[in-house]
Amino acid sequence: MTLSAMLFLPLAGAFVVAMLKRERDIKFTALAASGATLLLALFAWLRFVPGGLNFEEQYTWIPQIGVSYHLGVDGISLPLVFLTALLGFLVMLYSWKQKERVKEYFLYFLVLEMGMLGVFLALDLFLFFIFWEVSLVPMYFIIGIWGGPRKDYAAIKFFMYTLAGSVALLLGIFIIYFKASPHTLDIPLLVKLSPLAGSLPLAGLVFWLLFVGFAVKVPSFPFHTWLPDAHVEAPTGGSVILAGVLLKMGGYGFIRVVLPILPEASRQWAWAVAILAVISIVYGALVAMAQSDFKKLVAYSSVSHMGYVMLGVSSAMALSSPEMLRSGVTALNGAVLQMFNHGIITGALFFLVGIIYERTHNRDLNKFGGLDQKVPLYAAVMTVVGFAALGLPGLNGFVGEFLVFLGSYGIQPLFTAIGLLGIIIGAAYMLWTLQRMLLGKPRVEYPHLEDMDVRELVVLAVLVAVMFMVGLYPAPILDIINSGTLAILGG
Amino acid sequence: MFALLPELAVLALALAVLLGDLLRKGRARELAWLSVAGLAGAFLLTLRTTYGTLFTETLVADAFGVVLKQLFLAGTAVVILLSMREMERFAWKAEYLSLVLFVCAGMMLMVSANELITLYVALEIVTITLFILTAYRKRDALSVEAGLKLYVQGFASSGILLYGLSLLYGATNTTYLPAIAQALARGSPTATLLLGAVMVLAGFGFKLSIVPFHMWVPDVYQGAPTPITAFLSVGSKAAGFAVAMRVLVLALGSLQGHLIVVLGALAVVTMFLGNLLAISQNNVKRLLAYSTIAHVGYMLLALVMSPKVGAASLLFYLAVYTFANLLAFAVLIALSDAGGGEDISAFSGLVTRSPWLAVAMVAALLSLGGIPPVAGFVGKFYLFANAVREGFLLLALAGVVNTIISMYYYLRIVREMFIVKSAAPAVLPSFALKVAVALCLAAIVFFGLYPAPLLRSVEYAAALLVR
Repeated sequence: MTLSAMLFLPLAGAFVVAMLKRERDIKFTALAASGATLLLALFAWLRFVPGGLNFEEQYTWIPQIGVSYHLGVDGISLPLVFLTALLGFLVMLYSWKQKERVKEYFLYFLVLEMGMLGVFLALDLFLFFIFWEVSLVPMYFIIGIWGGPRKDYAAIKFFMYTLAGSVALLLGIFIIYFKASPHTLDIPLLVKLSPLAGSLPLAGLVFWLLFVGFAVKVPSFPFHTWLPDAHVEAPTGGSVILAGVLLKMGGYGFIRVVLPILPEASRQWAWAVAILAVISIVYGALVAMAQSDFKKLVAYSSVSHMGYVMLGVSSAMALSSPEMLRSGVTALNGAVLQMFNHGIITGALFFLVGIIYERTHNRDLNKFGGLDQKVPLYAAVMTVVGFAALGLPGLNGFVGEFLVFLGSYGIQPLFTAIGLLGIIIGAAYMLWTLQRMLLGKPRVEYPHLEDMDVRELVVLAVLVAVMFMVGLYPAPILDIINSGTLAILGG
Repeated sequence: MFALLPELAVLALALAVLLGDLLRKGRARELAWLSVAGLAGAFLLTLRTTYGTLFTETLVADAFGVVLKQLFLAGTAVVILLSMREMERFAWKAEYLSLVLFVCAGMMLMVSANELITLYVALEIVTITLFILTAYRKRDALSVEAGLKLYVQGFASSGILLYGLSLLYGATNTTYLPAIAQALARGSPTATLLLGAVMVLAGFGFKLSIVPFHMWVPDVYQGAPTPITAFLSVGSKAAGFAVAMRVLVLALGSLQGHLIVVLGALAVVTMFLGNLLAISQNNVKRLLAYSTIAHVGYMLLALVMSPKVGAASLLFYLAVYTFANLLAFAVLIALSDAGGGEDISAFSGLVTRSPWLAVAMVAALLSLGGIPPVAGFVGKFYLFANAVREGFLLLALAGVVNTIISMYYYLRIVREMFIVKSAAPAVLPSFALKVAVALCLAAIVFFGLYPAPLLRSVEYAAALLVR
């Protein structure tokens, strides 16, 4: 019941919000609903027993097509569930000053939170797909209503791109369904049945159908073009959730669905995934370096950082002999941790972009400078987050990337070596960004900049605390993740 | 006789409404509510249907027919609820109601027909009555033109259909559908038979607005009174598909090998053309007309599949499509009743003007587009999954690609409602319209979240249909 409660609390909050009139009540309700969800996620984290599925729930739902309401968390989904609940709550807190169309704003975010949690909790492909699509509509509204000047274009591009990906996903699910006997959409059962074992051409087709569906969301090169548009136009809260959680749904799909259900096809095509991952890493980083729009820079850095996730996943896919198991598990651990870390870091970065944009109405990096003198608190936080993003040891970004490269090196050394370029370029654009924003002479355009207020500070302090916790002592979260990846890679 | 009770009830209701109008003038409103109540009563009667054949096997009462009849009764009730403002505005008499009820009775007979002549007569009851209803806005040139167009194409297509039916009779020496199936099973098909089948297909093509027989649809849909457009887009489509199922798939089942390529190609062309042409429409009635064509394309997939699977997919899809489409029309009618017109711009800023209508419209459009958690998703899931199961991977692919295209223009309306700002006044729908909206919305949400009961009954109906 824990998971169902966690899943439907935001929805219940949304219903209450829909009934309320006063803006203050609406904000309190939204904060309370997402706060309670976060507490439940924390509870689940503390009560989690590594190894196997926890808090499993299963009820018959549509017996005619072999669909059940099946929820559960394991070491892979738990960190992402926690990430979703945390960012969901922080976005509500950050949006306290929201003025325009308040009721709808919080309503969509609450529904969105439910959709995202559902994706990570669902253990039935039908349920998984429903939540996958449910998260689409509120995000469309969030970009479309509160977005920037080109919001129309960005919102529809986001929607159509993801929809195109998800129908490919749907076709793949159909084939898996009919190949399984008995026909079922239950993920753990499908993993056991391994319905496409031995039929490689068909398994390859299914693999690529699922690949398109998930890669659009990640986004992996060449399906990434919706991301910069969506990020630049989305309001701050939307960007945080988009980069922090929605992208993880893609990576999670690879680990939860593709890897365990299609092991042979995964092994066969791992090299292609690795190549696309390496392109995403290097190309994303290079394009990020060329940006002067702060938000666009973070967006492209996401393409690059999610490339690390895909590199780790591809190494786990390529796993062919038991000797390599250690490396594969390490790479996959790194991929999951990198997803969690990227959510925390990029979430923080987008909050920082939002905070400075609110004050200056400017995102052009070349029009900043000397912020360390004007807003020292902001500059300090920005520095920590920037260092976490470029992978400084001691902060969380380093741990995930290190594990991905360490594991991948044992399996695909060449791709790993090329991928390492991303670290260098990443460090370059991040440092350059910090330099352009924080150092130098203060600009005359903004004589009276206010530093972060308490609310903003709390939001970022929480995220920075997580960065240090995972960076300095990653063992607890890695234990949890490791139990999940071992189960998937059959260790 | 008891199997025919629902039809008789609807006929009696139609006559009662006529009589009531004669005895007491100006009571159209009360009679409309009476009709809705009567339809609900007939719905209850369908629950007690005894299965079997009637009148020397010319009519058959089976679970397949019952599901469709229930759909017609619910749909007709919604159409009457949607018509109330229009009836008041133009001071239409209750005769309008009785015509709608006659169409309903005709459709119920259509899906029960077990024999070609009965089928044709039932079809004509529906078609001729719909001419009148389409042209019912007598002073509106568009409405009259629509009626005339429907009339011309209706008779042309009836002629083609009738000719095809007569060829079938000539080739098999019987007009009974089961007997035709038996006759066909005995030998290889002759040229006469194939020609007959193709003519029948073309005849249905007109009725169902399959491309390339779809030209009349946008004009007729635009010109007809909007409640009647809604009626055309769901009721007559459902009845047409049911008959096509009985004739093309069951009676002419052994020809399916010959027809499969044609039907598959028509399905793909119909869905693509419908969706692509819908993109550029600004009149929402025309947009929904093209969207209907596209949905006909999806449903044609059901005729390609093996009968049992196809019938179940078709019934389920029809049910969810009916409620979603009626809901979209209901919101459109609420807006045009309030004087907003029928263009997409009528929907501007609806979320602030009338949030519940906006929510209902989004639900309807997402359902039509096949996005969860509303019922349209389960309908498409079931239909396309079954297409994959039957080995029609490419047809399923065409279907899902079209889903993407269709969302583009459905989103245009969503965008207008939620993103575009408007200073237009709030929309205050009538009580009857609210009831209709609530009914359809409840149906698509319920069937979306808990489709098991409906799936069970359509699979049961399909299993009994094909034995």
